Amino acid sequence: MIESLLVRNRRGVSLPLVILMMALLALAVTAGFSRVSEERRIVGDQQAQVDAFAVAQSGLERYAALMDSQPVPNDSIAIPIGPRDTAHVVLLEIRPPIGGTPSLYVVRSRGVSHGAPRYSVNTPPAQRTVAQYATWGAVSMDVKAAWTSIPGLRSESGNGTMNGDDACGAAPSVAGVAVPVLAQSGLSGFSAPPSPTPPVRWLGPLTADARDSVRIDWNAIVTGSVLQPDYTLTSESGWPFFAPLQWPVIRVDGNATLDGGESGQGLIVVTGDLTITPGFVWDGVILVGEVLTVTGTGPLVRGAMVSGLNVKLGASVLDSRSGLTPGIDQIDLQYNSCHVAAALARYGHLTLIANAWTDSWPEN
Amino acid sequence: MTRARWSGRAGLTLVELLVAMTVTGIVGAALIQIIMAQNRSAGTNEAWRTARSVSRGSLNRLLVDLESVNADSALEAGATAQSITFRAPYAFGVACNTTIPLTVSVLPVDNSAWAAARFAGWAWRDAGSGKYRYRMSGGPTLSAGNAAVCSSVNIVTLPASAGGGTAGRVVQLGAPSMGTSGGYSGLVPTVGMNVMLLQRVRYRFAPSAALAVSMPSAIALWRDVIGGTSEELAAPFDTSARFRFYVTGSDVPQDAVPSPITMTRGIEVHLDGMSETVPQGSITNKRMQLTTSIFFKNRRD
Repeated sequence: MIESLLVRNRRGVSLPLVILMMALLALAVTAGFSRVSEERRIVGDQQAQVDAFAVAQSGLERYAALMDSQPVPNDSIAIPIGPRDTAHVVLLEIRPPIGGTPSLYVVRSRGVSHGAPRYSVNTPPAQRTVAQYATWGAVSMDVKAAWTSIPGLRSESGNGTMNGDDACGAAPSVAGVAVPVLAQSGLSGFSAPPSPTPPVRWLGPLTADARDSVRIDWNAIVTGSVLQPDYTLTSESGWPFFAPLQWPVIRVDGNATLDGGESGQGLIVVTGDLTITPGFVWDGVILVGEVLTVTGTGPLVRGAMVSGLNVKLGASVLDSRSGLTPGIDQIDLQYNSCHVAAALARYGHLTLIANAWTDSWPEN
Repeated sequence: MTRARWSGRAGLTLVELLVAMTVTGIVGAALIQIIMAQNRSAGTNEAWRTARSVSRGSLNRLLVDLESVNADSALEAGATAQSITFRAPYAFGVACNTTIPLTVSVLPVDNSAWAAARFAGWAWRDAGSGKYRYRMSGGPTLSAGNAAVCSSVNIVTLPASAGGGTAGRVVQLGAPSMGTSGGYSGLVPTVGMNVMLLQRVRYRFAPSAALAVSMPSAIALWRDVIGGTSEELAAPFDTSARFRFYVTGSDVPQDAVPSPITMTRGIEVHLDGMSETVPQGSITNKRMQLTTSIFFKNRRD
């Protein structure tokens, strides 16, 4: 009994020491974890910031690259960048197209990054906004004259005008007529009157020279690789009606004869012969594979015409003809660069203006 | 009975006492070692963290200022490894007329950034060459513009977004001593051309003011808005902190300041931060080397 009391009364310091050590160790571990956690957060935040910037810039460039038709003002799209990040891109129109000046836009891209590791559920995703001015660069057309005829041009009426001065005033003047010196028929490349203004531009001695100098990819147009049409016909039958502000692309696979009922604006592609007759008025571009014949009094084209393009496919094409009845038939042809640009406006690309990039756009 | 009670109060023998004291001494010494090691470790970690914070703290500011500068004429003459001065765009817009004073429709800019900026001039982008023409002299002025000038040429000044936020604004840029052409002989601004509003900003590694007492030799990174405020972004930096230069046609930075200075296409920044104190158990301050490259995004090529 006495021995047992003696053992119970021997109190040591082991327990307090162990508790003290455990407390100190716990504090040390806690402090260590806290510092590591803080460091990870800092690194995570910086990574997220870098990611957000990369996402925003990627969105900006991808939007410009993917834009294959003229954008509408205030166009907006969310572009996924990788599995977790998104670029919210908005296109804002600063200035509509005026004359030969293309539309001016600003493209704003806000990158939102969820990819970088974050260590708190309350931490919002990182965001970064960049913006850049852009224009809609329409496809340009190699216009050598108001009327370019690769095989040559027979002007038989003596009336009318063939004027290569730009009625829009946005581009330099071109020739009234562009032809080879020697036509496909063996005659002179162009027989005046009327005398074109400015004078005839000779595209080389022969039809082959004219063919090579006209830089239009007619094969791609015929095969449909470029200038995809809004309407495809086999003749003038079924000629479409369209709103005055529309500039459609109308393709005729074959021959066509057009009169006042088919007037309008846009781009006409005829793979065969085209005859335009009195009352026909067209603003834009006319591309003809075979012979383009203008007959009667008063057809009016304000833009640019190219005929005999099938020569570029290896075909032999006869001379185009302006007027069939001397002294009566009359063609009035006026080069207009704005109408040419408008007819081709949809076939362009969004061009980000170098030197016009900013990242000072506010986040809200 | 009394003897029995006394005999039950057993004391510690000398041996027991010695053993207990020895064990206590060993454990105590170990505890002190642990505490001291922990203290040193904490001090070292704190020093590292401070050094890293110094390095990182100023990086974002540098990025924002330097990325959007125009590569053709970003840096001003007089750059050194410790100091660069450049024309920093703080707002972009498009011109609404063709003579000076120039009316410009400006894209939205954060209000605080707009207020903090110190207008020093402007530049307009020649659409043909893509080169910016600067107007930093001639007493450039900035004032509110007439929105009707822009609307008359169909230029839209962006409104605030639907959820609120900042709208674009119309400003007027003047250069009283330069006449209506702005002094650009043979060059005529066009409607719709891009315009940037500029402030002059200097970054320099120079003695710290914040640590002047506690660490007299400390070097800080300063951001000076010329004509505005000077701000000590972070300190202390190691003496190796400096700027290096990327030039056209080379992807290797160089120490030498490019000649001409217009060849500069980017800056390599050595933000070598250090701790304010020497941690226990160490003989020097902790250093954190952070090197990053910033290329000018607004360039013609």
